[in-house]
Amino acid sequence: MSASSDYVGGMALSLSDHDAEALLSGSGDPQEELGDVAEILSAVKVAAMPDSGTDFSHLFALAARESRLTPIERFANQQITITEDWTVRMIPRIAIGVAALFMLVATSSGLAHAANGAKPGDALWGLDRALEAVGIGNGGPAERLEEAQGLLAAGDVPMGLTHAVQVVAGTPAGQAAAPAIEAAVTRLENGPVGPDSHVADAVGALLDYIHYQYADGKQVLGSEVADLAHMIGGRPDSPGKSDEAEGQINEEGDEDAPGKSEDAPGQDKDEGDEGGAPGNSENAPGKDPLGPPGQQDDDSPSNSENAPRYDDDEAEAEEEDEAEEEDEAEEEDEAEEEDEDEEEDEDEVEDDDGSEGGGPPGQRGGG
Amino acid sequence: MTTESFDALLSSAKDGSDEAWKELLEPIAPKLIGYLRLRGSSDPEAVAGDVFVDVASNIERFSGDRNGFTSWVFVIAHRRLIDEHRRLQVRPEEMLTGGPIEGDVARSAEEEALRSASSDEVTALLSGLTAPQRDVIFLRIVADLSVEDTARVLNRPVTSVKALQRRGLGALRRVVRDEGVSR
Repeated sequence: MSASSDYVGGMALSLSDHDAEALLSGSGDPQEELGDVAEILSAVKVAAMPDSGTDFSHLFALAARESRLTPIERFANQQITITEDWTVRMIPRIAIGVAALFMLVATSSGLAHAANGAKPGDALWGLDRALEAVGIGNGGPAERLEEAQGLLAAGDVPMGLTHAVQVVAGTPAGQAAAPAIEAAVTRLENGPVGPDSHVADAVGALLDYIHYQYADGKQVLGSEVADLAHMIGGRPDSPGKSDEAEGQINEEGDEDAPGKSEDAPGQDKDEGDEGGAPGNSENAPGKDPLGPPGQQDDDSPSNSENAPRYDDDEAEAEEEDEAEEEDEAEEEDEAEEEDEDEEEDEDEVEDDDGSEGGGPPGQRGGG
Repeated sequence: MTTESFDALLSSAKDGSDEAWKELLEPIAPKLIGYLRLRGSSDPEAVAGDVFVDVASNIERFSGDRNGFTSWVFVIAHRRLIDEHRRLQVRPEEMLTGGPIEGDVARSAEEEALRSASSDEVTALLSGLTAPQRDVIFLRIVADLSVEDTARVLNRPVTSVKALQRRGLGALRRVVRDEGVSR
Protein backbone atom coordinates (compact mmCIF):
# COMPACT_ATOMS: atom_id res chain seq x y z
CA MET A 1 0.00 0.00 0.00
CA SER A 2 1.43 3.36 -0.93
CA ALA A 3 1.99 6.06 1.65
CA SER A 4 -0.60 8.31 0.07
CA SER A 5 -3.26 5.66 0.34
CA ASP A 6 -2.38 5.03 3.94
CA TYR A 7 -3.17 8.60 4.90
CA VAL A 8 -6.53 10.22 4.36
CA GLY A 9 -7.10 13.68 5.74
CA GLY A 10 -3.85 13.47 7.66
CA MET A 11 -4.93 10.38 9.56
CA ALA A 12 -3.02 7.15 9.32
CA LEU A 13 -5.27 4.38 7.98
CA SER A 14 -2.87 1.47 8.25
CA LEU A 15 -3.20 -0.58 11.41
CA SER A 16 -0.70 -2.11 13.73
CA ASP A 17 -0.64 -5.85 14.31
CA HIS A 18 -1.91 -5.21 17.81
CA ASP A 19 -4.94 -3.25 16.64
CA ALA A 20 -5.68 -5.76 13.91
CA GLU A 21 -5.50 -8.66 16.33
CA ALA A 22 -7.70 -6.82 18.81
CA LEU A 23 -10.32 -6.16 16.14
CA LEU A 24 -10.34 -9.69 14.70
CA SER A 25 -10.08 -11.77 17.83
CA GLY A 26 -12.10 -9.48 20.05
CA SER A 27 -9.39 -9.56 22.69
CA GLY A 28 -7.81 -6.36 23.85
CA ASP A 29 -8.88 -2.80 23.20
CA PRO A 30 -8.38 -1.35 19.79
CA GLN A 31 -8.08 2.36 19.26
CA GLU A 32 -11.26 4.30 19.67
CA GLU A 33 -11.28 5.47 16.10
CA LEU A 34 -11.42 1.83 15.06
CA GLY A 35 -14.85 1.43 16.55
CA ASP A 36 -16.51 1.78 13.16
CA VAL A 37 -14.40 -1.02 11.78
CA ALA A 38 -15.33 -3.23 14.72
CA GLU A 39 -18.99 -2.58 13.96
CA ILE A 40 -18.50 -3.57 10.35
CA LEU A 41 -16.82 -6.80 11.37
CA SER A 42 -19.71 -7.59 13.68
CA ALA A 43 -22.16 -6.90 10.89
CA VAL A 44 -20.24 -9.24 8.63
CA LYS A 45 -20.40 -12.00 11.17
CA VAL A 46 -24.12 -11.46 11.79
CA ALA A 47 -24.86 -11.46 8.10
CA ALA A 48 -22.93 -14.63 7.48
CA MET A 49 -23.77 -16.82 10.43
CA PRO A 50 -26.94 -18.90 10.34
CA ASP A 51 -29.47 -18.62 13.09
CA SER A 52 -28.46 -20.07 16.38
CA GLY A 53 -31.36 -22.50 16.39
CA THR A 54 -30.65 -23.97 12.97
CA ASP A 55 -30.58 -27.73 12.97
CA PHE A 56 -27.63 -29.28 11.20
CA SER A 57 -28.22 -32.79 12.51
CA HIS A 58 -28.59 -34.15 8.98
CA LEU A 59 -25.07 -33.01 8.22
CA PHE A 60 -23.72 -34.68 11.34
CA ALA A 61 -25.58 -37.89 10.51
CA LEU A 62 -24.05 -37.76 7.06
CA ALA A 63 -20.59 -37.65 8.55
CA ALA A 64 -21.35 -40.43 11.04
CA ARG A 65 -22.70 -42.68 8.30
CA GLU A 66 -19.64 -42.03 6.19
CA SER A 67 -17.36 -42.92 9.08
CA ARG A 68 -19.05 -46.30 9.45
CA LEU A 69 -18.46 -47.32 5.87
CA THR A 70 -15.95 -50.02 5.17
CA PRO A 71 -13.07 -49.09 2.89
CA ILE A 72 -14.68 -51.02 0.03
CA GLU A 73 -18.01 -49.25 0.48
CA ARG A 74 -16.23 -45.95 0.74
CA PHE A 75 -14.29 -46.74 -2.42
CA ALA A 76 -17.53 -47.55 -4.20
CA ASN A 77 -18.99 -44.24 -3.10
CA GLN A 78 -15.86 -42.46 -4.15
CA GLN A 79 -16.38 -43.70 -7.69
CA ILE A 80 -19.51 -41.59 -7.81
CA THR A 81 -17.78 -38.69 -6.18
CA ILE A 82 -14.73 -38.98 -8.36
CA THR A 83 -16.78 -38.59 -11.49
CA GLU A 84 -17.46 -35.06 -10.40
CA ASP A 85 -13.80 -34.28 -10.05
CA TRP A 86 -12.40 -32.11 -12.78
CA THR A 87 -9.48 -34.44 -13.39
CA VAL A 88 -11.88 -37.26 -14.15
CA ARG A 89 -13.96 -35.02 -16.34
CA MET A 90 -10.82 -34.31 -18.29
CA ILE A 91 -10.28 -38.00 -19.07
CA PRO A 92 -12.55 -38.07 -22.14
CA ARG A 93 -10.95 -34.92 -23.45
CA ILE A 94 -7.48 -36.31 -22.84
CA ALA A 95 -8.47 -39.56 -24.53
CA ILE A 96 -9.82 -37.68 -27.50
CA GLY A 97 -6.66 -35.61 -27.65
CA VAL A 98 -4.43 -38.68 -27.49
CA ALA A 99 -6.49 -40.39 -30.16
CA ALA A 100 -6.35 -37.31 -32.35
CA LEU A 101 -2.61 -37.09 -31.84
CA PHE A 102 -2.22 -40.76 -32.69
CA MET A 103 -4.29 -40.35 -35.83
CA LEU A 104 -2.29 -37.28 -36.78
CA VAL A 105 0.98 -39.14 -36.39
CA ALA A 106 -0.35 -42.18 -38.23
CA THR A 107 -1.74 -40.07 -41.03
CA SER A 108 1.46 -38.09 -41.28
CA SER A 109 3.54 -41.26 -41.38
CA GLY A 110 1.33 -42.81 -44.03
CA LEU A 111 1.31 -39.63 -46.01
CA ALA A 112 5.07 -39.32 -45.79
CA HIS A 113 5.43 -42.94 -46.87
CA ALA A 114 3.08 -42.43 -49.78
CA ALA A 115 4.78 -39.19 -50.72
CA ASN A 116 8.18 -40.89 -50.78
CA GLY A 117 7.25 -42.72 -53.94
CA ALA A 118 5.75 -39.71 -55.67
CA LYS A 119 7.03 -38.55 -59.01
CA PRO A 120 7.03 -34.98 -60.34
CA GLY A 121 3.53 -34.09 -61.34
CA ASP A 122 1.98 -36.30 -58.68
CA ALA A 123 -0.18 -34.72 -56.02
CA LEU A 124 2.28 -35.71 -53.31
CA TRP A 125 5.39 -34.65 -55.18
CA GLY A 126 5.62 -31.32 -53.38
CA LEU A 127 5.27 -33.07 -50.04
CA ASP A 128 7.92 -35.58 -51.04
CA ARG A 129 10.41 -32.85 -51.84
CA ALA A 130 9.50 -30.90 -48.73
CA LEU A 131 10.08 -33.95 -46.56
CA GLU A 132 13.32 -34.71 -48.33
CA ALA A 133 14.42 -31.16 -47.72
CA VAL A 134 14.23 -31.79 -44.00
CA GLY A 135 15.89 -35.18 -44.29
CA ILE A 136 12.81 -37.41 -44.25
CA GLY A 137 12.72 -40.13 -46.87
CA ASN A 138 15.53 -38.66 -48.88
CA GLY A 139 16.77 -41.49 -51.05
CA GLY A 140 19.37 -39.28 -52.69
CA PRO A 141 20.54 -39.78 -56.25
CA ALA A 142 19.17 -43.33 -56.41
CA GLU A 143 15.68 -42.06 -55.67
CA ARG A 144 16.06 -39.21 -58.16
CA LEU A 145 17.09 -41.68 -60.84
CA GLU A 146 14.24 -44.02 -60.03
CA GLU A 147 11.82 -41.16 -60.27
CA ALA A 148 13.39 -40.11 -63.55
CA GLN A 149 13.03 -43.66 -64.87
CA GLY A 150 9.41 -43.64 -63.82
CA LEU A 151 8.82 -40.38 -65.59
CA LEU A 152 10.47 -41.70 -68.70
CA ALA A 153 8.40 -44.86 -68.59
CA ALA A 154 5.31 -42.71 -68.20
CA GLY A 155 6.25 -40.86 -71.36
CA ASP A 156 7.31 -37.61 -69.74
CA VAL A 157 10.70 -37.45 -71.37
CA PRO A 158 11.50 -33.78 -70.72
CA MET A 159 10.68 -34.04 -67.03
CA GLY A 160 12.61 -37.29 -66.83
CA LEU A 161 15.68 -35.61 -68.21
CA THR A 162 15.44 -32.49 -66.08
CA HIS A 163 14.90 -34.70 -63.09
CA ALA A 164 17.89 -36.88 -63.88
CA VAL A 165 20.31 -34.06 -64.46
CA GLN A 166 19.60 -32.88 -60.94
CA VAL A 167 21.58 -35.89 -59.82
CA VAL A 168 24.73 -34.67 -61.47
CA ALA A 169 24.01 -30.99 -60.99
CA GLY A 170 26.75 -29.46 -58.93
CA THR A 171 29.12 -32.36 -59.45
CA PRO A 172 32.28 -32.03 -61.55
CA ALA A 173 30.68 -34.23 -64.18
CA GLY A 174 27.62 -32.05 -64.25
CA GLN A 175 29.68 -28.93 -64.53
CA ALA A 176 31.80 -30.39 -67.29
CA ALA A 177 28.73 -31.47 -69.22
CA ALA A 178 26.69 -28.40 -68.40
CA PRO A 179 26.56 -26.98 -71.94
CA ALA A 180 25.53 -30.31 -73.42
CA ILE A 181 22.93 -30.83 -70.70
CA GLU A 182 21.58 -27.36 -71.26
CA ALA A 183 21.34 -28.01 -74.96
CA ALA A 184 19.57 -31.28 -74.33
CA VAL A 185 17.11 -29.68 -71.98
CA THR A 186 16.52 -26.88 -74.44
CA ARG A 187 15.98 -29.41 -77.15
CA LEU A 188 13.29 -31.14 -75.17
CA GLU A 189 11.69 -27.90 -74.16
CA ASN A 190 11.40 -26.72 -77.74
CA GLY A 191 9.42 -29.56 -79.13
CA PRO A 192 7.36 -32.58 -78.26
CA VAL A 193 9.18 -35.85 -77.82
CA GLY A 194 7.43 -39.14 -78.21
CA PRO A 195 8.08 -41.87 -75.69
CA ASP A 196 9.25 -44.21 -78.46
CA SER A 197 11.49 -41.70 -80.11
CA HIS A 198 15.22 -41.92 -80.23
CA VAL A 199 15.42 -38.92 -78.01
CA ALA A 200 13.62 -40.88 -75.34
CA ASP A 201 16.06 -43.71 -75.93
CA ALA A 202 18.92 -41.34 -75.52
CA VAL A 203 17.51 -39.93 -72.31
CA GLY A 204 17.12 -43.48 -71.11
CA ALA A 205 20.71 -44.18 -72.02
CA LEU A 206 21.81 -41.16 -70.03
CA LEU A 207 19.79 -42.29 -67.07
CA ASP A 208 21.14 -45.81 -67.34
CA TYR A 209 24.68 -44.58 -67.47
CA ILE A 210 24.30 -42.39 -64.39
CA HIS A 211 22.33 -45.08 -62.60
CA TYR A 212 24.87 -47.84 -63.18
CA GLN A 213 27.80 -45.62 -62.34
CA TYR A 214 26.16 -44.78 -59.05
CA ALA A 215 25.14 -48.36 -58.43
CA ASP A 216 28.65 -49.60 -59.08
CA GLY A 217 30.19 -46.84 -57.06
CA LYS A 218 32.03 -45.56 -60.07
CA GLN A 219 32.66 -42.00 -60.95
CA VAL A 220 30.28 -40.31 -63.33
CA LEU A 221 32.41 -38.89 -66.11
CA GLY A 222 31.57 -35.50 -67.46
CA SER A 223 32.67 -36.52 -70.93
CA GLU A 224 30.30 -39.46 -70.97
CA VAL A 225 27.45 -37.37 -69.71
CA ALA A 226 28.25 -34.75 -72.32
CA ASP A 227 28.33 -37.33 -75.12
CA LEU A 228 24.99 -38.75 -74.08
CA ALA A 229 23.56 -35.28 -73.69
CA HIS A 230 24.82 -34.46 -77.18
CA MET A 231 22.83 -37.40 -78.43
CA ILE A 232 19.78 -35.67 -77.06
CA GLY A 233 20.44 -32.07 -77.84
CA GLY A 234 22.81 -32.45 -80.76
CA ARG A 235 26.36 -31.29 -80.99
CA PRO A 236 27.07 -27.62 -81.07
CA ASP A 237 27.35 -26.31 -84.61
CA SER A 238 30.63 -25.15 -85.97
CA PRO A 239 30.12 -21.81 -87.72
CA GLY A 240 32.62 -22.64 -90.44
CA LYS A 241 31.00 -25.95 -91.20
CA SER A 242 27.56 -24.49 -91.28
CA ASP A 243 28.64 -21.95 -93.82
CA GLU A 244 30.19 -24.62 -95.88
CA ALA A 245 27.08 -26.76 -95.77
CA GLU A 246 24.93 -23.82 -96.62
CA GLY A 247 27.07 -23.09 -99.57
CA GLN A 248 26.73 -26.64 -100.78
CA ILE A 249 22.98 -26.50 -100.49
CA ASN A 250 22.81 -23.29 -102.40
CA GLU A 251 24.87 -24.71 -105.18
CA GLU A 252 23.36 -28.13 -105.45
CA GLY A 253 19.80 -27.69 -104.29
CA ASP A 254 18.36 -30.61 -102.43
CA GLU A 255 20.87 -33.03 -103.80
CA ASP A 256 23.34 -34.68 -101.53
CA ALA A 257 26.33 -32.90 -100.31
CA PRO A 258 29.51 -33.64 -102.20
CA GLY A 259 31.07 -35.60 -99.45
CA LYS A 260 27.96 -37.61 -99.00
CA SER A 261 27.70 -38.48 -102.60
CA GLU A 262 31.20 -39.71 -102.58
CA ASP A 263 30.79 -41.70 -99.43
CA ALA A 264 27.49 -43.28 -100.34
CA PRO A 265 27.55 -44.07 -103.99
CA GLY A 266 24.72 -45.90 -105.62
CA GLN A 267 22.05 -44.64 -103.27
CA ASP A 268 19.52 -42.12 -104.31
CA LYS A 269 16.36 -40.76 -102.80
CA ASP A 270 14.09 -42.97 -104.78
CA GLU A 271 15.71 -46.03 -103.37
CA GLY A 272 15.50 -44.62 -99.94
CA ASP A 273 11.83 -43.90 -100.28
CA GLU A 274 10.95 -47.19 -101.79
CA GLY A 275 12.97 -49.13 -99.33
CA GLY A 276 10.75 -48.21 -96.45
CA ALA A 277 12.61 -45.41 -94.88
CA PRO A 278 10.70 -45.39 -91.59
CA GLY A 279 11.68 -48.90 -90.81
CA ASN A 280 15.22 -48.27 -91.75
CA SER A 281 15.39 -45.17 -89.73
CA GLU A 282 14.44 -47.07 -86.63
CA ASN A 283 16.75 -49.94 -87.16
CA ALA A 284 19.67 -48.29 -88.75
CA PRO A 285 22.75 -49.36 -86.80
CA GLY A 286 25.11 -46.67 -85.82
CA LYS A 287 22.77 -43.98 -86.90
CA ASP A 288 22.74 -40.95 -84.70
CA PRO A 289 19.16 -40.99 -83.51
CA LEU A 290 19.41 -37.61 -82.02
CA GLY A 291 19.60 -34.94 -84.57
CA PRO A 292 19.11 -31.27 -83.94
CA PRO A 293 15.74 -29.94 -82.90
CA GLY A 294 13.14 -30.22 -85.59
CA GLN A 295 14.54 -33.36 -87.00
CA GLN A 296 14.02 -35.76 -84.15
CA ASP A 297 10.28 -35.79 -84.39
CA ASP A 298 10.57 -36.82 -87.96
CA ASP A 299 12.50 -39.90 -86.96
CA SER A 300 9.45 -41.33 -85.35
CA PRO A 301 7.49 -43.60 -87.67
CA SER A 302 4.28 -42.04 -86.58
CA ASN A 303 5.66 -38.64 -87.24
CA SER A 304 6.88 -39.78 -90.61
CA GLU A 305 3.41 -40.91 -91.49
CA ASN A 306 1.72 -37.77 -90.33
CA ALA A 307 4.27 -35.26 -91.23
CA PRO A 308 3.32 -33.14 -94.21
CA ARG A 309 6.96 -32.77 -95.18
CA TYR A 310 7.60 -35.76 -97.37
CA ASP A 311 11.28 -35.22 -97.74
CA ASP A 312 11.78 -36.50 -94.28
CA ASP A 313 12.08 -40.00 -95.59
CA GLU A 314 14.71 -38.85 -97.91
CA ALA A 315 16.50 -37.19 -95.10
CA GLU A 316 16.31 -40.32 -93.04
CA ALA A 317 17.67 -42.38 -95.84
CA GLU A 318 20.48 -39.96 -96.19
CA GLU A 319 21.16 -40.12 -92.54
CA GLU A 320 21.25 -43.86 -92.64
CA ASP A 321 23.68 -43.74 -95.42
CA GLU A 322 25.80 -41.41 -93.49
CA ALA A 323 25.54 -43.51 -90.41
CA GLU A 324 26.75 -46.49 -92.28
CA GLU A 325 29.45 -44.39 -93.71
CA GLU A 326 30.48 -43.32 -90.30
CA ASP A 327 31.23 -46.86 -89.41
CA GLU A 328 33.49 -47.07 -92.34
CA ALA A 329 34.79 -43.57 -92.22
CA GLU A 330 38.35 -43.03 -91.26
CA GLU A 331 37.63 -39.78 -89.52
CA GLU A 332 34.63 -39.54 -87.30
CA ASP A 333 34.77 -35.80 -87.05
CA GLU A 334 34.22 -35.43 -90.70
CA ALA A 335 31.20 -37.67 -90.53
CA GLU A 336 29.72 -35.68 -87.71
CA GLU A 337 30.30 -32.49 -89.55
CA GLU A 338 28.55 -34.01 -92.46
CA ASP A 339 25.64 -34.91 -90.25
CA GLU A 340 25.29 -31.38 -89.19
CA ASP A 341 25.70 -30.13 -92.68
CA GLU A 342 23.12 -32.55 -93.91
CA GLU A 343 20.71 -31.47 -91.29
CA GLU A 344 21.03 -27.96 -92.37
CA ASP A 345 20.70 -29.06 -95.92
CA GLU A 346 17.55 -30.88 -95.11
CA ASP A 347 16.07 -27.79 -93.66
CA GLU A 348 16.83 -26.07 -96.84
CA VAL A 349 15.41 -28.93 -98.83
CA GLU A 350 12.24 -28.85 -96.83
CA ASP A 351 11.86 -25.21 -97.55
CA ASP A 352 12.36 -25.88 -101.21
CA ASP A 353 9.83 -28.65 -101.18
CA GLY A 354 7.36 -26.49 -99.50
CA SER A 355 7.70 -23.91 -102.17
CA GLU A 356 7.08 -26.54 -104.75
CA GLY A 357 3.88 -27.64 -103.17
CA GLY A 358 5.23 -30.97 -101.92
CA GLY A 359 3.80 -34.36 -102.62
CA PRO A 360 4.04 -37.96 -101.69
CA PRO A 361 7.52 -39.41 -101.55
CA GLY A 362 6.95 -41.59 -104.53
CA GLN A 363 5.58 -38.81 -106.59
CA ARG A 364 8.29 -36.44 -105.66
CA GLY A 365 11.01 -39.00 -106.05
CA GLY A 366 9.64 -40.08 -109.34
CA GLY A 367 9.19 -36.53 -110.58
CA MET B 1 -12.54 -29.47 26.36
CA THR B 2 -9.38 -31.11 27.56
CA THR B 3 -7.02 -32.94 25.25
CA GLU B 4 -7.96 -36.27 26.80
CA SER B 5 -11.65 -35.70 26.36
CA PHE B 6 -11.16 -34.58 22.76
CA ASP B 7 -9.10 -37.69 22.04
CA ALA B 8 -11.93 -39.83 23.43
CA LEU B 9 -14.45 -37.94 21.37
CA LEU B 10 -12.31 -38.39 18.29
CA SER B 11 -11.99 -42.10 18.96
CA SER B 12 -15.75 -42.45 19.27
CA ALA B 13 -16.28 -40.55 16.07
CA LYS B 14 -13.85 -42.89 14.29
CA ASP B 15 -16.00 -45.74 15.53
CA GLY B 16 -19.02 -44.16 13.86
CA SER B 17 -20.80 -42.76 16.85
CA ASP B 18 -23.58 -40.35 15.86
CA GLU B 19 -23.29 -38.50 19.14
CA ALA B 20 -19.55 -38.12 18.82
CA TRP B 21 -19.89 -36.68 15.33
CA LYS B 22 -22.57 -34.30 16.45
CA GLU B 23 -20.40 -33.11 19.30
CA LEU B 24 -17.41 -32.78 16.99
CA LEU B 25 -19.13 -30.87 14.22
CA GLU B 26 -21.82 -28.89 16.01
CA PRO B 27 -19.51 -26.01 17.00
CA ILE B 28 -18.03 -25.90 13.50
CA ALA B 29 -21.16 -26.16 11.33
CA PRO B 30 -22.47 -22.55 11.73
CA LYS B 31 -19.01 -21.11 11.23
CA LEU B 32 -18.43 -23.30 8.21
CA ILE B 33 -21.72 -22.39 6.59
CA GLY B 34 -21.12 -18.71 7.39
CA TYR B 35 -17.70 -18.85 5.83
CA LEU B 36 -19.00 -20.67 2.75
CA ARG B 37 -21.78 -18.15 2.42
CA LEU B 38 -19.41 -15.20 2.64
CA ARG B 39 -17.11 -16.81 0.13
CA GLY B 40 -19.97 -16.95 -2.33
CA SER B 41 -20.79 -20.63 -2.31
CA SER B 42 -23.87 -21.35 -4.40
CA ASP B 43 -25.16 -23.92 -1.88
CA PRO B 44 -23.38 -23.57 1.47
CA GLU B 45 -25.23 -26.43 3.14
CA ALA B 46 -24.54 -28.83 0.33
CA VAL B 47 -20.88 -27.90 0.29
CA ALA B 48 -20.78 -28.22 4.06
CA GLY B 49 -22.24 -31.74 3.72
CA ASP B 50 -19.50 -32.63 1.23
CA VAL B 51 -16.90 -31.24 3.60
CA PHE B 52 -18.19 -33.31 6.48
CA VAL B 53 -18.21 -36.43 4.33
CA ASP B 54 -14.59 -35.74 3.40
CA VAL B 55 -13.75 -35.22 7.06
CA ALA B 56 -15.44 -38.49 8.07
CA SER B 57 -13.79 -40.51 5.34
CA ASN B 58 -10.34 -39.20 6.28
CA ILE B 59 -10.76 -39.05 10.04
CA GLU B 60 -8.46 -42.03 10.54
CA ARG B 61 -5.53 -39.93 9.34
CA PHE B 62 -6.22 -37.00 11.65
CA SER B 63 -4.49 -36.45 14.95
CA GLY B 64 -4.52 -33.29 17.02
CA ASP B 65 -6.59 -31.11 19.30
CA ARG B 66 -9.87 -29.28 18.83
CA ASN B 67 -8.29 -26.20 17.20
CA GLY B 68 -6.32 -28.41 14.87
CA PHE B 69 -9.49 -30.28 13.96
CA THR B 70 -11.34 -27.04 13.22
CA SER B 71 -8.60 -25.69 11.01
CA TRP B 72 -8.41 -29.06 9.25
CA VAL B 73 -12.13 -28.87 8.46
CA PHE B 74 -11.63 -25.39 7.00
CA VAL B 75 -8.69 -26.59 4.96
CA ILE B 76 -11.00 -29.11 3.34
CA ALA B 77 -13.72 -26.47 2.97
CA HIS B 78 -11.33 -24.08 1.29
CA ARG B 79 -10.36 -26.73 -1.26
CA ARG B 80 -14.00 -27.58 -1.84
CA LEU B 81 -14.72 -23.94 -2.52
CA ILE B 82 -11.94 -23.79 -5.05
CA ASP B 83 -13.35 -26.88 -6.75
CA GLU B 84 -16.79 -25.33 -6.79
CA HIS B 85 -15.54 -22.10 -8.27
CA ARG B 86 -13.70 -24.01 -10.93
CA ARG B 87 -16.79 -26.02 -11.68
CA LEU B 88 -18.99 -22.98 -11.95
CA GLN B 89 -16.32 -21.06 -13.81
CA VAL B 90 -17.23 -18.02 -11.79
CA ARG B 91 -14.73 -15.92 -9.98
CA PRO B 92 -15.33 -15.69 -6.26
CA GLU B 93 -15.19 -11.89 -6.41
CA GLU B 94 -18.02 -11.84 -8.89
CA MET B 95 -20.05 -14.23 -6.79
CA LEU B 96 -19.52 -12.13 -3.71
CA THR B 97 -20.31 -8.78 -5.27
CA GLY B 98 -23.05 -10.12 -7.53
CA GLY B 99 -25.75 -9.50 -4.95
CA PRO B 100 -26.65 -9.68 -1.32
CA ILE B 101 -25.57 -12.68 0.66
CA GLU B 102 -28.42 -15.12 0.63
CA GLY B 103 -29.19 -17.52 3.38
CA ASP B 104 -31.11 -20.71 3.13
CA VAL B 105 -32.00 -21.02 6.77
CA ALA B 106 -35.50 -20.28 7.92
CA ARG B 107 -35.73 -16.96 9.69
CA SER B 108 -38.37 -14.71 11.06
CA ALA B 109 -39.54 -11.78 8.94
CA GLU B 110 -37.88 -9.32 11.31
CA GLU B 111 -34.62 -11.17 11.21
CA GLU B 112 -34.87 -11.47 7.44
CA ALA B 113 -35.34 -7.75 6.97
CA LEU B 114 -32.54 -6.93 9.34
CA ARG B 115 -30.25 -9.49 7.77
CA SER B 116 -31.02 -8.33 4.25
CA ALA B 117 -30.15 -4.74 5.01
CA SER B 118 -27.07 -5.87 6.84
CA SER B 119 -26.03 -8.13 3.96
CA ASP B 120 -26.32 -5.38 1.42
CA GLU B 121 -24.21 -3.11 3.52
CA VAL B 122 -21.64 -5.78 4.22
CA THR B 123 -21.41 -6.71 0.57
CA ALA B 124 -20.84 -3.09 -0.37
CA LEU B 125 -18.23 -2.64 2.31
CA LEU B 126 -16.32 -5.79 1.53
CA SER B 127 -16.21 -5.15 -2.17
CA GLY B 128 -13.32 -2.78 -1.55
CA LEU B 129 -11.13 -5.59 -0.25
CA THR B 130 -9.06 -7.94 -2.28
CA ALA B 131 -9.96 -11.64 -2.30
CA PRO B 132 -6.99 -12.67 -0.09
CA GLN B 133 -7.86 -9.91 2.37
CA ARG B 134 -11.44 -11.12 2.51
CA ASP B 135 -10.30 -14.72 2.99
CA VAL B 136 -8.20 -13.76 5.98
CA ILE B 137 -10.84 -11.60 7.60
CA PHE B 138 -13.62 -14.15 7.06
CA LEU B 139 -11.57 -16.96 8.55
CA ARG B 140 -10.58 -14.78 11.50
CA ILE B 141 -13.96 -13.35 12.42
CA VAL B 142 -16.41 -16.04 11.20
CA ALA B 143 -14.44 -19.24 11.69
CA ASP B 144 -12.67 -17.84 14.75
CA LEU B 145 -9.36 -19.20 13.53
CA SER B 146 -6.06 -17.92 14.85
CA VAL B 147 -3.47 -16.32 12.61
CA GLU B 148 -1.56 -19.59 12.53
CA ASP B 149 -4.62 -21.69 11.65
CA THR B 150 -5.67 -19.15 9.02
CA ALA B 151 -2.20 -19.36 7.50
CA ARG B 152 -2.56 -23.13 7.43
CA VAL B 153 -5.96 -23.01 5.72
CA LEU B 154 -4.82 -20.55 3.09
CA ASN B 155 -1.40 -22.18 2.75
CA ARG B 156 0.30 -18.86 3.32
CA PRO B 157 3.09 -17.74 5.67
CA VAL B 158 1.95 -16.27 8.97
CA THR B 159 3.59 -12.97 8.11
CA SER B 160 1.62 -12.83 4.91
CA VAL B 161 -1.62 -13.42 6.79
CA LYS B 162 -0.76 -10.69 9.25
CA ALA B 163 -0.04 -8.25 6.46
CA LEU B 164 -3.26 -9.19 4.69
CA GLN B 165 -5.41 -8.65 7.76
CA ARG B 166 -3.68 -5.34 8.48
CA ARG B 167 -4.31 -4.04 5.00
CA GLY B 168 -7.81 -5.45 4.85
CA LEU B 169 -8.81 -3.71 8.03
CA GLY B 170 -7.12 -0.53 6.80
CA ALA B 171 -9.22 -0.72 3.65
CA LEU B 172 -12.35 -1.17 5.72
CA ARG B 173 -11.39 1.82 7.81
CA ARG B 174 -10.92 3.86 4.66
CA VAL B 175 -14.34 2.80 3.38
CA VAL B 176 -15.94 3.86 6.67
CA ARG B 177 -14.19 7.20 6.57
CA ASP B 178 -15.18 7.82 2.96
CA GLU B 179 -18.78 6.99 3.70
CA GLY B 180 -18.67 9.27 6.71
CA VAL B 181 -17.36 12.09 4.57
CA SER B 182 -19.97 11.47 1.92
CA ARG B 183 -22.69 11.50 4.50
